[in-house]
Amino acid sequence: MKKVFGWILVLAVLGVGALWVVNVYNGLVEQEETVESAWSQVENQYQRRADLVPNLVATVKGYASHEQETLEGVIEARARATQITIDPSNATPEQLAAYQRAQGELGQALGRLMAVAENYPELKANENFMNLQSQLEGTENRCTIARQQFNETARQYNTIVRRFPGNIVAMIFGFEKKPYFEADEDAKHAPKVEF
Amino acid sequence: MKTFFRKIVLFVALLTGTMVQSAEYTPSTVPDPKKEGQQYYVSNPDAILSDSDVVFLNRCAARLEAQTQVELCVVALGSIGEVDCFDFCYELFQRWGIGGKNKNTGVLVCFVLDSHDIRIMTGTGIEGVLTDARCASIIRTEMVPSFKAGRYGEGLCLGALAIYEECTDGEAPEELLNMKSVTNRGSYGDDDDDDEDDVTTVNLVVWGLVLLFFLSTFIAVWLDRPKCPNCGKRKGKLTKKDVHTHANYKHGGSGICYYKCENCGHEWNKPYTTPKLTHSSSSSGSSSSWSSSPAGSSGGSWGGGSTSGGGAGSKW
Repeated sequence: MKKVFGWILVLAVLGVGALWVVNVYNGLVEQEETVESAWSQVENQYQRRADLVPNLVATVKGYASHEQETLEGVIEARARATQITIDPSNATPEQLAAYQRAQGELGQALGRLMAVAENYPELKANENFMNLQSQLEGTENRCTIARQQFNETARQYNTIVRRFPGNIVAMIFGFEKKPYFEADEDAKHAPKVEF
Repeated sequence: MKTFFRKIVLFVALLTGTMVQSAEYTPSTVPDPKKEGQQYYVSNPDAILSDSDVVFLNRCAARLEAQTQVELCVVALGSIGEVDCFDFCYELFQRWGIGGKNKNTGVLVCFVLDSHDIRIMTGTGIEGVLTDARCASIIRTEMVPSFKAGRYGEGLCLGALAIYEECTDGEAPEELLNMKSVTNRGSYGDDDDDDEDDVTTVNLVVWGLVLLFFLSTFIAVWLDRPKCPNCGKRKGKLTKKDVHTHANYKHGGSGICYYKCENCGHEWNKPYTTPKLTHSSSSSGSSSSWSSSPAGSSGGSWGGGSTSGGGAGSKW
């Protein structure tokens, strides 16, 4: 009798252990999904910004055709930024930093373009330009929020992955820490144009 | 004497209340209009907007919600300190959860007086209708001109009307268009004084009330003193109180009060009774409740929506 009882106990403990592992695994999967959807939000907003560029460049060209350097700078920065793609399931901090840098450069190029546009009152008063400008500001804000939300979900995921004893499960099944967006001071908000 | 003390406390509270008028707000200290009831959409703690403006905005927002399930929230604050208006609005939007949880069609309009900020923040569900560009143009054409002229209430009302028309894709109803807050569009000059007058009259009324309370306490104290049956002067003073029975839930209390006149020295006594205690009120019925809660004070709430930071904002 004792022997059988012993075996039953062992099985019960193993069963509970297995259930716990399943729980933690599912939690990790869910959280990773959340992170990936937050990442796709980030990508969407950056893409939205990139999509504004052709129209913006064309509008500015109509009034400020001499500003070739600035316009070309924006076009090039956009090309570089749209080239980098990241797979969120195995992104490294370096990859993310490179992505952020490229996007930051586009943001700066756009900032220079907007500053240049300041010198052309007819351009500033143009309806299309004003619309594009407000869209650009709006998109920059959305990018900021998307980055914040991504960082938040990534933080939650990383906490689960690193905490003991959940980190054992994470290690077994190959869940790794996700990188963060670093605080980006100059790209925080769109260049505000004061009338 | 208890009532006297309470009145003094209220006087001090009122005094400090008027002095703390332009506090710096954080997303956690901005008063939530839904706490007063589901039919309130406007937070106006610094009285920047007049009563008629608030009525208009509430009505506009109520009709908008009834027709399109869009939850419009208008917040007008004196100061938010050094905080960036965008960050403030985002936090406030997320904290209150403006807009339906599934539809996410919430709109926050935030006006800050000292930093000259105006921002419209849209929920993810209404972004397609209230695009960033459209929000920017509403701010530019409907709101900023009025703000620059000092007519803050009018600017916000015109903006709310524009938002209403954009969301319902049509003309605003007659009822809204005819309300005073938006028909003043086009008349210059007199409206500047209106806002000034509103603020000063409010202040006058408040101080008048304060003075009244002060006076009433003195009168109450003076009348409290019993009349001496001997010389007729109100100089009686309570020297001893003989309690025969205390009031409880079964029966009232009774006893005898002994008085002495400070003028002629005459002494007399007077029996008294106190009423039976009841469960609904803990204090004796000599003072009425000071704060009256509005009908439907069970409070409401916003729908639990969120924003992705869209919309537009500008300085004015």
